[in-house]
This record gives sequence, C-alpha cells and structure tokens, in this order.
Amino acid sequence: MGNKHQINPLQMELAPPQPSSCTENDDSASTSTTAVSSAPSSPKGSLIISESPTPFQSEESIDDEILKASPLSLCNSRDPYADVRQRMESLASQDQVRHLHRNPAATNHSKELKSINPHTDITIFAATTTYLGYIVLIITGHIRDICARFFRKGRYRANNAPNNNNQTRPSDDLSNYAPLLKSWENFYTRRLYHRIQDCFNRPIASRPGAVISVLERVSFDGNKTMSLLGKISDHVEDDEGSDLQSYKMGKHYDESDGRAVRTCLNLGSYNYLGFADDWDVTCKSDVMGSLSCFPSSMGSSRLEFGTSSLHREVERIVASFVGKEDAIVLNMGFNTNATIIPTLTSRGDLIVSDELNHTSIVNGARASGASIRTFRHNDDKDLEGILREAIVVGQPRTRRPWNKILVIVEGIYSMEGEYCNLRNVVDVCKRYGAYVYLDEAHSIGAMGASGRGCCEYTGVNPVDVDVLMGTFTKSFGGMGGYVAANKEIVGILRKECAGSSYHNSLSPVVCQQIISSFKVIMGQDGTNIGRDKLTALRDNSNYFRMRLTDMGLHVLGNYDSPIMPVMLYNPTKIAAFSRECLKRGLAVVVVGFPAVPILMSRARFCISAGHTRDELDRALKELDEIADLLKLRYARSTFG
Amino acid sequence: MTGKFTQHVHNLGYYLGHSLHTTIRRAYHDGSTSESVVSNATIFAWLSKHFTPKEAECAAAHTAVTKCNQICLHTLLTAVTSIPQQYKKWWLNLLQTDPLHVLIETLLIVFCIILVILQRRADWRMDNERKRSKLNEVEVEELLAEWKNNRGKLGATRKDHEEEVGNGLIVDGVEGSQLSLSPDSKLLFSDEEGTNKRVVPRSVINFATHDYLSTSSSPTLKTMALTSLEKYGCGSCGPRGFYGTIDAHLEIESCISSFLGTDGAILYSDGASASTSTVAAFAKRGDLLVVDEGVNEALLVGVSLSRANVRYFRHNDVNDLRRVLEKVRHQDVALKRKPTDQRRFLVVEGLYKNWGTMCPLNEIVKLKEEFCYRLILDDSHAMGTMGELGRGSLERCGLKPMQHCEILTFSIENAFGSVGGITVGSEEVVDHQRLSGAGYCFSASAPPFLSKVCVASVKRLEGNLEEIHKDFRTKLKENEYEKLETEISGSQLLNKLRDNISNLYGTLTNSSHPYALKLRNRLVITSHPQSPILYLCLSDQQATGLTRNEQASVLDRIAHHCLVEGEVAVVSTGRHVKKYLQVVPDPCLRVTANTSQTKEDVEKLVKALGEAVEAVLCRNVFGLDIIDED
Repeated sequence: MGNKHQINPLQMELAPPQPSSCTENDDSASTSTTAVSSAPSSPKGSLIISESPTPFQSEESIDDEILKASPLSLCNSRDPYADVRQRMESLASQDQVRHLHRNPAATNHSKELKSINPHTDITIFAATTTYLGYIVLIITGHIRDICARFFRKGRYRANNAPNNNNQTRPSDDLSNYAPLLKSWENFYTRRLYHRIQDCFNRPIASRPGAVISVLERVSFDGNKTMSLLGKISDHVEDDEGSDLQSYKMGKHYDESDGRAVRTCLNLGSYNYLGFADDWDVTCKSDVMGSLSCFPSSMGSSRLEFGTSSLHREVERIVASFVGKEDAIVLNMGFNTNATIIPTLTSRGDLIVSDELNHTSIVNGARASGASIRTFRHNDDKDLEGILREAIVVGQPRTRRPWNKILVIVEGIYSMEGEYCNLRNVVDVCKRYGAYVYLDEAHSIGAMGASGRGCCEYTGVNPVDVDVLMGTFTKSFGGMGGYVAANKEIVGILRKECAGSSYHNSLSPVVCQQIISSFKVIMGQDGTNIGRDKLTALRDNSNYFRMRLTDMGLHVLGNYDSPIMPVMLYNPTKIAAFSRECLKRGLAVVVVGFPAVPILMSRARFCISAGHTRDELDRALKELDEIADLLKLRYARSTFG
Repeated sequence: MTGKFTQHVHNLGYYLGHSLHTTIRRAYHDGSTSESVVSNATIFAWLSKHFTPKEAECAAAHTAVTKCNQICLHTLLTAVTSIPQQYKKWWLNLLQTDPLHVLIETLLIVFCIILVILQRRADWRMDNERKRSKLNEVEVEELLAEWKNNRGKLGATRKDHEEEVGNGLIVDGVEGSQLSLSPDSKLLFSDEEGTNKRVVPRSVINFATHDYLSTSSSPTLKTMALTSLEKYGCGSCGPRGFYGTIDAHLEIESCISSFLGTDGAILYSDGASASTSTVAAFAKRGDLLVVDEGVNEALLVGVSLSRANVRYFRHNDVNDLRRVLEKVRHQDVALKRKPTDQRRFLVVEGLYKNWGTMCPLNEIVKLKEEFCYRLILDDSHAMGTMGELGRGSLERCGLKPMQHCEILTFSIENAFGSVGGITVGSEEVVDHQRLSGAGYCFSASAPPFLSKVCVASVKRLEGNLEEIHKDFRTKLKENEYEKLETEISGSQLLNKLRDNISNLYGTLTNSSHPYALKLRNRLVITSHPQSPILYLCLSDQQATGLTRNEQASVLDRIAHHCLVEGEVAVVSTGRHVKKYLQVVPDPCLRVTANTSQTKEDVEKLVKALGEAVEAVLCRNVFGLDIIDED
C-alpha cells in the first residue's frame, strides 16, 4: 500500500525522459549548416562599420583585438568553429561598434543585429497574454485563499492553527501578535512562486562544471515543499513496476551515493572560465596544499589577525591584474559592495546608480546615507543630464553643493547580458568630476582579450575608473570580492570598512584557489590553458548567441558577453521551459518576477569555457524543439 | 407650419414683454418721478395694450418682431442711462442716513484695489527674478567647473583618525595555540624607541582570534576539508537559486536544525550578512524594532536597511527595556492602535561581541512574552561556547529556539571554524528568507567544502566524531587515522573551554600573582566572567584626562608591547570602525580564550600584559602626570 502511494509522485514529477531522439548528431550538423547558409552574408557587416557616421576611432584596434582574441583563426585545424568563424567575428565586431556608439543607424541596417530593447520591445500580444496569465494566477490564488478561509482547511492554514505536534508557541497566538508574514506580502510566494518552485534552488551533487548531477526532488504537498527523492529503492522495489524500469532507462538518469540524479548539461552556473571542470589539473594541488599550514577559516577580521600571507598575495595579484595600485579582499562579493560603498560615501554625497544595478549595490548605497539617483540603464545622456542638474542645484533642502558624486555601474549586467557603455560613462564622469565605481562581478576574467574585464574590453584606461570592484565567485571558481583603487583609498578602506574591521576574513583556502586561477589566466603557470580558456569562452558564447538569435528567439545582451537571456514573457512559460529543459538534460536558469520586471520573465544561459561545441549543439537542438513547443520565437513572429 | 411659427413668435414676444415689464416696474417703483420712467410706463401701457396674446396672434410675425426689438432697445437704453443717476441718488441717500457704512465700504473697496495692484506687481517681480535666476549656459559651466575643483576626495580620511596605518600583521599559519607571523608583517609602532626589537616575532600565542574551540588545529576538520575539496572543488559558482545549491549545503542545514531542534536552517555565505539580511527580511517599514544599544554593526545595518521604526534601550538594562515597552504600550492606547497592527521585534545578542557581556535572556524573554514581541537573537559568539552542550546562550538560560526565540541567527565563523552564517527558526521563518534574505538570494553560495567543515565541526561538538571518521578510514594512513581518534570532542571540549576561561579570569584577577598585581588599578575587566571574549579597559583612574584617541593609543601600545616583547597576541579595539554603532564601547584590549591554550600560555599572557602595562603606563607617554601607586 505504502509503496503504491509513493509511486504517484514519481509518475507525476519524474516523467521519464523520452528515449527517442537518438539521431542527435546528424541533426545538429544539418541545423548548423543550414544556419550558416541561411545567414546574411558577412560583407554586409563590414559595410556598416564604414558607414557609421562617427567611425570608431580605432577601427583597426577592433580587428587587432579580434585577431588577438582568436588565435585559433590562425590555426584552423584546431578551431572547432572554423566553419562559422567569419560570421561570428563579423557579428561580434558589428555589435561592439553599435554598442560603443549607440548608433541607431547601424541597427537599422543590420537586420541580424537589430537589438531589442527589453523595456520597450515586448510585443502587444506577449504583453497582453502575460498580463492575462498573471491575472488568472492572482484571481485563482485569491479564490483559493477565500475557500481556505471559508472551509478552514488549506495548505497554508496549518501555520495559523495551533500546532498539534509541538508545544504551542506564544507567537503562534495571532490575537496578540501580528502575523509574521502578512497574507498579501507572501501571496506571491504562496500562490505564484510555490507553483513553480521546482524550477529554482535545484540541488546538485557534483562540482558546478559543464556537466552536473541534479538531484531529483519530489513534492508530497503540491509543491509547497520539495524534498529530495533520495534512494530510488526506498520508494519502489526494483522488479515491481515498469515505471521504475523506464525511468531508470531514461537517457539522463544516474545515481550518486545511491540517490537518483539527472545528468544535465550545465547552462546556469557562473563557471565562465571552467575552473570547476579542470580543477584537478589547474588548482587542486595548490589549494589542497594550502591546508597544510592554514586552517579553513581565520576566525578573525582582516584588521586583527585574519590577514594571512595568502590574502596579501591575492591583493597584490589583483591590483597588478586590473592595473591599480592596491586592492583589498573581503569575504563575500555581496558584502564587499554592501560595506565598501558606505565607507566611500556618506551623508552629503550623491550616488548615481544605473537602474539595473545589483541588490548589493542598492543595499550598500542605502546603508551609506548618501542621496541616491538612478539613471536609465546604460544611457550616458541621461547620466549627463542628472549630473548637470545635481551639481547645479546641489543638495535637496540645504542647497549646499554635494561633497562628492559617485557613479556606480556594472561591467556586465547579470540579468541583461549587456556590458557597460564604460567609455561614454567614464567620459561623462570625467567631464563633470564624478567618481566612477565599476562592479565587475561578472566581467572580470570573462571579458577582454586577457580577461581583464570591462575596462580592457571597452579600451578604457583603468586609471580613469576610480574604484574597481569584482568578485571571485564567477570566473575564478572561488568566493569573495575585491576592491582595487589607488593606495590612499585602499588604505582608508582597510581601516574604516566594516567588512575589514569587523567581519571575518576570506578563507585562506579560497585565497589559494584565487591565486592559482589567476596564475592560470595570466599564463604564469607556464601553460596556455588560461589563454585557451578565454578564447573558448568567447567563441562558445558568440556561437551560442548567434545560433539562439538564428532560431528567432528574443535574445538580450551583446556579443562577447557570456550571459544570454532569452525572453519568455509568460509566467507559465517559465516553468514549462525549465521543466522541458530538465527533462532533456539541460540545467537552465529561469528568472521570474522579483528579480526582473513582471513582464520580462526570461531564461538565462551562462556559457562556460568548459563547454564543447558538441555539447552546445546538443543543447541548441533541444532548445530548438522547445522553442517550437512553447512558441518562443518572439523575434520572428509576434505570436512567438 | 405657419401655426407653429406664430406660436413661437408669440412666446418670444410674451417673454420679452414680461421681462421688460418687470424691469420697468422695478424702475417705476424705485424712482417714481423720473421722466424716463414715465415714458417707460407709457411704453408699458402701450405694450400691454398691443401684445395681448390674442392681438399677437393676429399680428404679422415680421412686424411683431421688429416692433418688439425696437421697443426693447429703447427701453434698455433708457434703463441703463438712468442707472448712474439712480445710483448717485441712492448713494447720497445712504451717505446721509448711514455715513459709517459708506466709510467702511469705501475703505474696503480701496483696499481691494490696492491688493490687486500689489499682487500684480509682486507677480511681475517674481517673473523677472525667475528669468534672471535661470542660469545661462556660461554660468552653468562655471558652476560645474567650480564644483569639479572643490569636490571632496573619495574616501576622505575621518577627522578623528590618526595617520597611522592599521595593524599590518600577516599570519603565516595557525597551529594549536600558536600563531606564526610572517616576517613581512608591519608593526604598528615599528620606530618606537622603547621597543628594541623591531623584528616581528616568528610565533606568538593566540589570544586574538575567535577560534574558541581550536577548530584550526583539529585534524578531523582538516581531513574533512581535504576530502570534500577533492569531491566538490572550491567554489560553488552560483547563487543558491541557480544551481549553487550543493548537497553539502543541504547537509549542513539539516545538521544544524537537528542540532538545535528547529524546523529548519538557512545558510548564508557570510556571517555578517546573515544577521544583516535576517533583520531586514522580517522587519519592514511600519514595523517596530526594539534594539539593545550595544548590538554589533551587522545587526545595526540590518536595522537601518529595514526602514522600520527603531527604539533603543540601554545595554543589558531590563528596566530600561520595560520602560521602552511600556511607552510603546501607552502610545498604542493613545493612538488607539492594536498591538497586532505592526510586527514587533526585540533585537539582542546572546554574548555581545563588542562588550563581552551576556544578555539576561530569561528576563528579556519574560518581557517579550508579556508585551508580545518576537525575539531576534544574534548568538554568533555564544553558539558553540555557551550552554551545557554548546547550543548557545538559549541553552545557558534553559530556553529553546522557536519556543522562546523566534529568529536565531549566528555565524559559523567563530566556534565552528567555517565561513558563513546560519539562521534557524520555524519553517515559516526559514522559507521566507529563501526569497527575501538579500544575502541569501543575491549572493553566491558558500564553497561546499566549508559547509562540510561545519558539519564536521557540529559533529565534533556533539561528540559524534566516529560518524565522520568511518568515512576517512579507507582514505587515510594508519598513523594519520590514529591521530584523528585522539581528538577530544563533545563535552570534553566544552569543559576544556570552560576551564580555560575560568583559569584566564582567575589568573588575571589573582591578587597574589606578581604580574596580575601590576594590572590592578590600571586595567579592569569589563566582560562577563564566563565569556570567552575578555575585555580589559583602562581603569577610571588611568583613563581620566585622556581622550578616546589617547586611550586607544595607550592600549595599542600595550598590545604592541605584548606582541613584540611577550610574544602574545591580543587585540586592541580602539581603532575599530565606529560609524554604525549606536553606542561606542570604550577602547579595550580583547583577549579570547580557546581550548588549546595551556596554563603556561595564560601565565605568559599575564606576564606579558603586566610588563607591557608597566612599560607603557608608567612611562610618560603624553606628557601627562601618571603616578605609579605601587
């Protein structure tokens, strides 16, 4: 009986992956060739570069950069993208020119590169259906709430009733206590998020490399809570059902420590340079060696006894890598922004922040007590207007001049895949004397010919950016964040930043990981691994982006950026897309309302240097099918 | 057709006639002798004669209309032209009968006129001003340039801060109670004449880090770190929501929640972010936070980020807390506000990081239940060190999480020897943070090996080391494995810590100890005698006449002397950031106990402190008259 009862969720949640679709390789080959032949010829692209009214001052430099960045074009025998190389490069360089100049003329000419502004270019059909979707969800949710109240029975009513299992706690008595969560506050969580909870927080049982083992989860209470499936044999006996057999026969089924896992291609982790894939070769010996003289945690803050020689080493390397005098390393990327910004600014200062900046920046800015203005995403004209007005008018109420102005931008915007228009931002800031704070959380190590981030990619001298911030979680496979600036600023941060004075320091083991990965990237380990990684990342990203765009998906962001969001719009498509992908062995990230505007639900792919072209082709083939199934080709037709 | 038309004409004539009739009648009654009125009266007579309904019906439409118009015009003109005369009459009449009325009315009219004119002038002036004050291009450019030249420096030095660079000590390794220092370390006072040794000592005794249970030298934890590094690599490469949840994270969460007996636990990748995000996730605008003045910076940042209403009570003062709570209750009555209208939280620390004092949790829980508040407790330093089984200050007071403390947050960086923070509580508390804890949602998850280290650390505290050791049996050599088995754990470990703490306090306050005697009247212990963090402040006698900075400087020198001469690491807290603190504690020396310190180590500490105090305080550092009493 018990067994039978437990089979149901198995059947429901874990529909066995279709064993069909085995002619994968042939298919992918044919699609790739058709893509190439159907694509507009590349001379068109070069035409645009020459046509642009303000020719990019160093037109050659782009070409140089391309040559530098793609040494593989010189040795075609090894280049996995030889067949599409020319088109990829021309698309990338067109996109770069267009981005740097914000030149609409170029956009009009090139059909291929028609950039879609996510804030205006949602089709009316998509917008209405999305709104309709949310309306249905919200109304249904409220009906369920009302029914639950009426019948005094419901999934979420247990909290209000006295708990039979445990002792009653004083705070459960809602006649004296305000409810911890007001019902309208967690309505979204209960009635919208929980429906698709299985698409988020998926646990994995392996390194976050190119291929991961996603632990299977089931829900026994209608997606209110998820639990691990655990051992398959706990649920059903082996010989009993054909369900289990077919499940185990599924293409992506696997076991890890006896638990059921699904082997998936990882298109979600920030493992840009693939250090999680070849960790055993690149970093393992050093990192494990560091444990012989250092503990896992220093147990003390940087200002006290939490600074090890490894911390200093990381700071030295970071400073020289990004081209600054000095750097400080703190435990957590989020915390770095949240504690550094309040140290740099205070009341009487103005922070001008891009509207799409990360929450850590928002938190830091709010904690600082400075006034905050936002400017339109990546729009230097808007920034200029705000700066002019702010300086002329001065502080609100007192009308005193601002003490200083700090402009905060990100290198790559993680939800847009777009890189910062840094050259123009820096020009504007220089003209008006505002300081620039660049958060390179995603771009450091992932952009630029040698991985030095957004500055290198956009050709901005790091000296012109006053504060460079970045994290080690992404490209370096570590943890923590750094701030690099001139000696004076870093000296002050060391003394006055809460993250350095109070919070515990970064683990020395992680420091060693950062040092090792830096050495690989900078080629100091005596191999070409670092350079190959950078090349592979750029090629993989551009190839994937090109193919996604060819499919007619609505892809955001720029070429050369490893993040590519694909618009889904409808709330229902979030879950459908994620589940379809998981079924086909693709681990993708889908993003819904709290992280992005309500209309702009999207899937986000993060490409890694660890991916191979075969893997990407397989993913693209599956995505092509899913795009048909879910009607996602918004760039091709209004109805998707 | 014609019938209808004539009907209309008739009506028109009738109305016109009627209105004229009333006008004329009024005029007639008002000025009876006026000539024009007489003539009006005749017209009226004529009208009434000619325009009876019957006659109008007979009259041709055209003639009737023209006639009517002519008459109307004439009558109106005469009526209008007669107005001034009538008015004048009425005016003179009024002047005679009621002169006061006329006076007031005249003044009023004049006033109104003046007002209108002035207003217009003011408007005109304002316009001009606006036109003039609108900056032209040149002026704007000038302002911009001026601002650019006068802008503040990024990260300008705080005024009360001296120029010296902070502690530049670099640790090369940790082994037992020893910290080895790198020769590259920069000492705080490297050029001081008093200290002959300018060389950094190679190895010092650790009374400085928060490693209370000596996790840094535990072979089990080290092995755990190595084996899990091998499995998981280093970083997790993503936030928890996006494939950054690794089974190690789930393991530590379930491990901690069963350790503390709560529904669930949530892991943050930084200890300070855990408390900041926890407070900000629950308290929102309009809620009420009643906060102890002495809480640490991370909690206070959370308090300020939450935008809730905040009230502070004096540090560890239950009576003051009662006063604050009663004041809120009085306000409730005054404002007719129900206590269920806002969420209310008490925010305290179990063992205060900046003070070394213990929170009177029993009284606070009583008050919180009486006044219906929820409790947010930051137990970062008490977790693993306090209580019979190391379950923190709640256990010390015989209380339980969830039942007495709704939200319990602590860092696993101190006693557990990992990196990160954890919040525990009911299912509701934990699940809510998974979407609204900023540090959880928007930050990469902790490296999995650190979570595994924490799991091992919890097992070590529970005394279940065999559970972990059996996994290592196949991986380690025999002699290495034996080393693991000799490790103490569980209550033995906690007893060791308690013994060390009491020994530390005992020796420092021992009046017969030759070196402890030197500390008397100079340094006073301000922390709780059971706290593993021990704070030594300058006594009132020593501190009088010294500014905060000077006190800090004296203590810096003592700490420096201890390090260089006595080879003992203690921390001087005077230079720590004060920006976010509600109440700034006096500059102190901080001495932390851990399980690997021996009696000799403590002897060495007391000796070093005694010598340092003598060397620093008895020398005339600031040209002040410091008299040595002994």
